[in-house]
Amino acid sequence: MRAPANMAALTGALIARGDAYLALPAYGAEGAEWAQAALARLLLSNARLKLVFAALPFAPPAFLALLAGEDRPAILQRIVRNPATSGATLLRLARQMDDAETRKALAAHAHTPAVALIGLAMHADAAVRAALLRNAGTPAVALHALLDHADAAERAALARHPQADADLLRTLLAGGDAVVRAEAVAHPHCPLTQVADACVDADAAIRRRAASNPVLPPSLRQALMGDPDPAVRAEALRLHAEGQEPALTDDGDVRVRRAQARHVALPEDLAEALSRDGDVWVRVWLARNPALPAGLIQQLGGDAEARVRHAAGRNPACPADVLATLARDGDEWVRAAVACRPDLPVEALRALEQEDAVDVASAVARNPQARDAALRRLTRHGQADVRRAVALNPDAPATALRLLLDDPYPLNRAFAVRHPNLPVADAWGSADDDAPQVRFAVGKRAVTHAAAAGRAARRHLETFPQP
Amino acid sequence: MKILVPVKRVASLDDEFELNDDGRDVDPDFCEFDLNEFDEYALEAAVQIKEAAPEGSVEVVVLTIGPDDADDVLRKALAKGADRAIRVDDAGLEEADRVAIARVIAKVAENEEPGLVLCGAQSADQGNAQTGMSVAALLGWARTAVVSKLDFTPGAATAQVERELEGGLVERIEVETPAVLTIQLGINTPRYASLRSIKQANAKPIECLTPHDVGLADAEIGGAGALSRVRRVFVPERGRGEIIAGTPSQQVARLLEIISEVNG
Amino acid sequence: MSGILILAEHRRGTLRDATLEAIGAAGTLKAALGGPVTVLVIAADPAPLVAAVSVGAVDEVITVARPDAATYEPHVYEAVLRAVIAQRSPSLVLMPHSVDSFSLAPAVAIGEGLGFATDVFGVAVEDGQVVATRAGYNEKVFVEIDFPGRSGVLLTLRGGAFAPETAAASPTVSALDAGAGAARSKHLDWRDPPASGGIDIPGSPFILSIGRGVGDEANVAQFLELAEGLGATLGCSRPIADNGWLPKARQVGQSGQLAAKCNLYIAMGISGSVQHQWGMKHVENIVAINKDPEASIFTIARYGIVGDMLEIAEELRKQKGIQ
Repeated sequence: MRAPANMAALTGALIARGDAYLALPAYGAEGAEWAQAALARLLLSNARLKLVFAALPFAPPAFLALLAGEDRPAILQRIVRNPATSGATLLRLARQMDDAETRKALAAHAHTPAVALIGLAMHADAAVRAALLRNAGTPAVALHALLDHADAAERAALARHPQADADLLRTLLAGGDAVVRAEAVAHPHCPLTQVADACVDADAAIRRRAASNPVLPPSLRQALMGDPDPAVRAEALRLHAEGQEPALTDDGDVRVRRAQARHVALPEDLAEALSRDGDVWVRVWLARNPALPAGLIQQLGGDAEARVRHAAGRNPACPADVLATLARDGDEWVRAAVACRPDLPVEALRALEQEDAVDVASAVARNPQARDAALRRLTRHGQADVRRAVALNPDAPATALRLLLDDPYPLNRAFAVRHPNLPVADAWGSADDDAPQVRFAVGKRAVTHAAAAGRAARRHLETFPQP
Repeated sequence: MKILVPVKRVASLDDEFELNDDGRDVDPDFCEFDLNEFDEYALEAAVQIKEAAPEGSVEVVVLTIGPDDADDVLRKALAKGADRAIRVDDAGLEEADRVAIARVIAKVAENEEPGLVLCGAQSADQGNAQTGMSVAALLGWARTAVVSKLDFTPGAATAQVERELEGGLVERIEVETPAVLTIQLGINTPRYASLRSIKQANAKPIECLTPHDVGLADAEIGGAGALSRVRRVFVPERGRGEIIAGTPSQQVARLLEIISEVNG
Repeated sequence: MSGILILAEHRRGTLRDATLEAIGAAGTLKAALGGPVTVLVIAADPAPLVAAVSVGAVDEVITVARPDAATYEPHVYEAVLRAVIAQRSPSLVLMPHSVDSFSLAPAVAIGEGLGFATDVFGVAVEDGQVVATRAGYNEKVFVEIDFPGRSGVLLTLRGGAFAPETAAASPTVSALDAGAGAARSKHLDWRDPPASGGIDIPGSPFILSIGRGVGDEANVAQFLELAEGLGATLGCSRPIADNGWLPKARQVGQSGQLAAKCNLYIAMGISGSVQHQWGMKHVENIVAINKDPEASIFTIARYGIVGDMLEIAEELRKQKGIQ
């Protein structure tokens, strides 16, 4: 049966089928407004499904708003926790429910409007305070309100909060607790004079946290790279100083060398030295380093340790000839590293297309350059993960995706249905699939398609006004 | 020869759930139902015996006890290679425990006369590990629990099995047949049902019987045939674990403590 | 109708610790139920096992020597145990919730008409009646079970739930001739679990596992490094293997590996889908580290850290001196 192309016909078909999973994506969709009442009857017809949908993170926010009219507290509590619930629905539920669990969930929700968060901060119990401190959206005003009765752990959390402002951080620093100070000096909003003081603090833990401050001025960073404590030196190296070549030198401490190996502005002689480092992790980090000269990547691609060769194969700057060599590596995981790369030379990819080893086959299946015939073959691989990888390939052809619609593993069918290269008409053919997640995906595809068609038709009308 | 595979529709609870008003079970609105995973391995073991035998010589019969919603797990079993499905309706079995359920299964086995009964080692939801071995006791058949390898040719007087013991130790034994065996996870790789076989399974009939139909007397049905009774269900105080609070460095200090405590 | 009867479980000549736990449980119930506490040892040669069960509240040891009991055989054990129960009418029969008991306890309970519950971790006596507590729905609820109309009750006890008894005692020891019943299965041989090497999720006692929270492939290597530094095997959830960031051999869950021998599982940035939980929810010590305090993984974790896995990992490296 063909998928109905316009929203009115589609909504009618969804209601006629009487399947709540298939119909759920249509609720609130543009063009489906006329059938809202009938959809609501279908979607609210079963006690179990109401509970399931209330917790479903893919549920349309408009449907969650409708469901918020239910009486059962268990449903409402799930809606408050559902990340898809809109700010307006949360506000409405906040007015009608005042239990501790609801307040905690509201305090933690990313969509709770700032004004409600400020209100919650005024009379917060310990659980609500903790939730507000974890919510990245909690505004500075609310944080100031929490400061008054904050214990040591809460002050540390305040000092870490992304919305903490300079005033708040200054107050927290004045409190003197070493743990709180360590958090505050790492904060990008911390006043620079205080950060500078921290860089010469007697306590190495404070200097280390200052070194991790993302807006640390280059001069301070340079000074910290000469710090006597290796953990501080390693930390100062971790963040890349854009347009600034740090004076990197040989370091006796393995922690510092591992951090150096990851640095994008690594001087060539040091890179050369590190490539022969006895510590395998130094070589792993170095082999992954995208700023490494091709010659060194090549050298590390021949390392005795498979982990190092794998890292070289994952390096975005890995030259084509090295990729081709690694594609013939004796270690499966090394071949898998290059098998998914679109820049792998074609002949090398063709050879890998013949392989059945699970990691290599799933990497080939994800490769946009893989041939259609190879992808079709992989949809019949014995491992469900390999077959699913075909559906994860952005360039998978419809011919391969169609085969996945008969996959025994429901998740694989759902992925195939979601793939934009699968024609909607084919996806619609799975509307009576056994697995609810597949039917939901079918409904979603059909609704998205009909909505786009509706918008295109309206644009057409606007461009060519009818007489 | 027939192989009987009794299967259970098991419940997994949502993260949050409520109890029934009588406080003796969970409100089923908060349950997701599916075929017991252990039973999938038992079914696969049965289907593999069938497939290794001459065509048409072995019939795999699946059985469940439950309401009509439980037909779903029978259809799944049919789609995965079972030939015939029986459901005994659970009306009147509300007070049944696992032994009372085993009485139903044993009656069906007496009627069907299978050469082998294969059950899951336990259910994924309640984990009593009682049903299968109770069936053996009621039938008076030979039995082995937690079978991790099964070698059996239909018609043979014995089966060679491995049973998996605590700590991964394996005992190889030979057991008389007919026998009841309970099957451990990992004995095989259960197949997925293809869409075509699911559609074929949906078209197959399911024989629906009552406990009386299979020949049970009133004194054996439900609570009367049970050896235990659920008095109360409750949510334990420490349903959630210990939340480690503090700054990352404090949390990690505690985490390292836990690692050394556990690893010794 | 009184007393507590415990069946000794032994394997390859050694008493299993679970029997000492059953004796410990009997000790706590003896006052309420009345004695004596009796241990039954069935073996080809029971004598060497008598000393090991002569502990705690044990008043009496009964030995049954049978050549067909050289290894555990359910039909032989059933015949002996039922004969002893018929003779003694104990009010409570205890055995470990073990693989051996699986094939024994139901036959004995049904045969002797005893009240019956398995995998019990709490036992109380109320008005002279036994009440057992066990877990249901995958440990999410506890279930209280009683046994109306049953004068004797058989319970199998969860390992580790009762303190083992080891203090020496001087019970009377008597040999009993319980010759009925015949074996219907035959022991062939034992096979010890294989030693493991390479990436071995099923065999690893300590797994550090990462999920979506890792964010980017570039972050994966540091977890390999971290796992090595902690002495753990690195595992992952399905999306990580799907992305090709780690090999399938490291994937824990339904389409991957079962963490069968794991005792400590640290889940970092894993929300805890049903699919993943299949492979690890049985692990005794689960530590969940996740930004989202509502993540399902916290409902099965013994310890939880609400926080950013990358930050926790960095701190772990610092404190362990890995970097």
